[in-house]
Amino acid sequence: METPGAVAVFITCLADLFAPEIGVSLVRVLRRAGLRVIFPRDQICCGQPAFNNGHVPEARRIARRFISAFERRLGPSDLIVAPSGSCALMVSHEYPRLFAGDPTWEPRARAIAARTFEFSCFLANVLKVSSIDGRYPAKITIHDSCHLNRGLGVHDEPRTLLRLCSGIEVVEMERSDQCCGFGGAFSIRQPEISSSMVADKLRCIRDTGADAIVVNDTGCAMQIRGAMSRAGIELPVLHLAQVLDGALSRWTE
Amino acid sequence: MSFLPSTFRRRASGILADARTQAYLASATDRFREGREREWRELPAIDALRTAARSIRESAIANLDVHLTTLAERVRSSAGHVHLAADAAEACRIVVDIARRHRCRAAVKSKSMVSEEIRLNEALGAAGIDVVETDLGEWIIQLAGDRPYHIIAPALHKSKEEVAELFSAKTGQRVPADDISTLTAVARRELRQAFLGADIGISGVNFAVAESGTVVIVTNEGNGRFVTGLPRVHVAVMGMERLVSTWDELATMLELLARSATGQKMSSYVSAVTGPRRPGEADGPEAFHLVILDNGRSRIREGPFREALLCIRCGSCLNACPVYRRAGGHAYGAAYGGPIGAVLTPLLEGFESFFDLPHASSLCAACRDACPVKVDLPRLLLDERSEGVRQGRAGILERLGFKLSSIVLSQPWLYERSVGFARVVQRAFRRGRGLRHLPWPLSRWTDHREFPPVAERTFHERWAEEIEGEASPAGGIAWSRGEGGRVEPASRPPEDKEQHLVAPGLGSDAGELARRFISELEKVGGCGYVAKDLEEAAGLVLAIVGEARRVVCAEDELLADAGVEGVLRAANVEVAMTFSQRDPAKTRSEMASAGVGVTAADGAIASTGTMVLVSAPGDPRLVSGLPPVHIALVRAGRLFGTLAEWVATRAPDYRRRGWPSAITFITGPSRTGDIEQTLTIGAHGPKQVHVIVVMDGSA
Repeated sequence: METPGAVAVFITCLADLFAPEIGVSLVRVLRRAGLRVIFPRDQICCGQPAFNNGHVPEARRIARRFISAFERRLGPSDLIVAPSGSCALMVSHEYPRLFAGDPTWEPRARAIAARTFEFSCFLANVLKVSSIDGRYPAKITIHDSCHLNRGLGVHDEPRTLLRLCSGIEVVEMERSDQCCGFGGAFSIRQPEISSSMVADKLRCIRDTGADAIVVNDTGCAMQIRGAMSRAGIELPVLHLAQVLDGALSRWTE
Repeated sequence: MSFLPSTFRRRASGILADARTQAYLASATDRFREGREREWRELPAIDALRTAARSIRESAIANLDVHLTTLAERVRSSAGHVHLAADAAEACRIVVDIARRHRCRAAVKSKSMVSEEIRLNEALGAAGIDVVETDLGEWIIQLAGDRPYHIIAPALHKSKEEVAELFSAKTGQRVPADDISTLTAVARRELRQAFLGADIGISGVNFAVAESGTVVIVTNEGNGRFVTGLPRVHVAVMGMERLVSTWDELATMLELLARSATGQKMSSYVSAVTGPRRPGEADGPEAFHLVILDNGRSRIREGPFREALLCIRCGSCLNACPVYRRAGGHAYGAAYGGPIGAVLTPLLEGFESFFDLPHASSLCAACRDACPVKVDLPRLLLDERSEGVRQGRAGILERLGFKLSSIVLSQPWLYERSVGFARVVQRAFRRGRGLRHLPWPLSRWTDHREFPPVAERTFHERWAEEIEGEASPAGGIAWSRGEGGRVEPASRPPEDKEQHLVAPGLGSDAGELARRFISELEKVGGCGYVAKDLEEAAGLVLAIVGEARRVVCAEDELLADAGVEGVLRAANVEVAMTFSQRDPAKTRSEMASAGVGVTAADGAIASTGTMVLVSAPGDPRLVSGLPPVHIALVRAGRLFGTLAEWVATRAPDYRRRGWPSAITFITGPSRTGDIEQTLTIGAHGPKQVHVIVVMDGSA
């Protein structure tokens, strides 16, 4: 087994501000796997909000800061892991386009892009996790975030990882790949359509009778959690890292 | 200009509140989408087929000038006329001029999105030309004075009660709303009169084939056949990008079009028309005009949004889109709705009025995965968002907001201060665990959902205070890292290198092909028979004719060999032959009054249950169109596995000898789903289709 370099946490601005507990679990799980975890502290945001709204110069400004923040801390075999599909997609797929033709920044953007992975993709496809000594007795349903599923092609990975823990029953919701309606600024540009979309998502979630829903994108989680609490639904909206962390700590207790 | 200008939002708001329209939108888009998913799943190599279709479209757009020149030349050499229109106004002027020059007053029209784009009906109306839309959905829209709601289901927002009311007003008789087939029958009767009385037919073009100068019109109801077959003048209006270079390419595109649009393997009718009628033919127009519309397409082709021209207007992206599903077609404010409308409209009409359309998407990319030619719609939407901003169409507050946030989000110390500031401010909005009634623009979030408060401690803070130095336990996860570096996503299926993209394993055994053909034909509501020889085939024709007293019969070698005419006459059936009387007008009126039309088919395609009819002096187009029952004979030796195989076998001959004026691909009876998505048989064309495969004499 080859020893990997360190793993740098790309926390994402939404998780940093609104759901830091996801980051805490993510670090614990990575450490359980025996990895050295670092956190480049100058990181803030990847620039996706500006980019997705067409404000390209602003997106570049934010992205340059992001790239420098990671470059300074990364060793030659270190990788970057984010708890969010859309943020990982921004860095791994959009950065090279964002700086295309820029002699200084394009190579730097490409280097960072090539090392950036979404959490479940990292565990399943890079580490190739084969077993998890964890127990989490619950019925869990999964929302497939659009950028993770259609953008990065990550669909089976979170399911496989959950099933490695004992006690977890994965129950599929109807059309788990249907958008929750977040879409970044879309959620405030088209609030009525956005909330109608999440209302459908809540119906699909409830129909499963699951004890919790796993959402691997901080934006989608905000949307789904926000709509649930407005509707008075008490159902944990968890990140995969939180479930794995919980499963692993139960096992050792 | 406001912070977030959105007329889309305003236009969509009424629709969102309208539960009935929401239900129609959901059921229509679900039905189309599920049909598309089912048909795609059935294809052995859908991904490779989509890739092939995309490269056909890419090469068509890349070599557009060459193909357009060839197309125009071939149309002219088939005695057709070609007109180039730079913009909508010129296109309308050209069509009006054609109508005037041929002294036409009554027009029938088949469904055409490009005519919506140029608002052709208004121009014709202003010129005193009476236009009747003949697609059932489009007719309903026309009677209501409305605009289409969906690329392929224009009246999906109308209830059967509304339709009944419109039909009652039109016919002056009370039309009951309870039965959709009755409503369809009213349309059939009314529009049949319009077809027979029209002197000019106007159609769109699904594809134009450059090599033969052919325009291809796809319909399910059969109105496309009447529009192009009955009036003495036919004008086809096409967007200049809607072409393919060869018939082989056409075959690939047709394998995808209906599957992606409606979940059919093939639409009921695909009419491939090359020039006007030929000497001796009883139907088809005396004059054929092709109007090729630019209207901004050349400009789009030169720019960064060229990919938008690959679209084949199947409507699949609309059916996949959760935003279209809720906003409906009118919210997009122009001819084209859904994701492709959000892309095309700012390009065709400018960003000034349509800046907000590219933002009317959550970028979920369901449209991209549903597109038969793999148009990267989310990418185009993203690029148009930045184009809109570059053109200065974003509001001042929006620009200021992103400018300021880009400074804060690239300066750690500023970010830290802002977080502290937000924690103080949010106290005023805290209700329980979440935030409520945040100020605008976040009020647009909190009107519908709770907003999360900024955490007591951010991850940055927790890292420094606890996590970095925490001695968290190791162990419990076993892994084996493969090669380092980039890994490709695991769940993408490998590209299929299978040669047969549509129907592998369908060999050339006549019995097997006949079985498959009949099974596919019966799935779409047709009836298939196998006759061991010509005599048995003639007997079957007689049995199917049954009680009908008037039969119109094509004059074709196969029917003559089978002695169909004699067998029918011996049973006292009145038989009108199509050619020997040499009076086209009489033949037409006989076709219109007969109870049954009998033809031979030039070939049949097993994988889709399609028969191929080729026009000739003894084989008018509408023997298979006007009577309510159509019976066709086909030799087993002329069965093909796929459309591509038919093309590969037949096209070389046509390339040498010239293309017939009409090749019609018929798959089952005439059908429509235009009223409340209820499938109804016999909208315009035959209600019954019988195909007899003759095993003997197949040489």
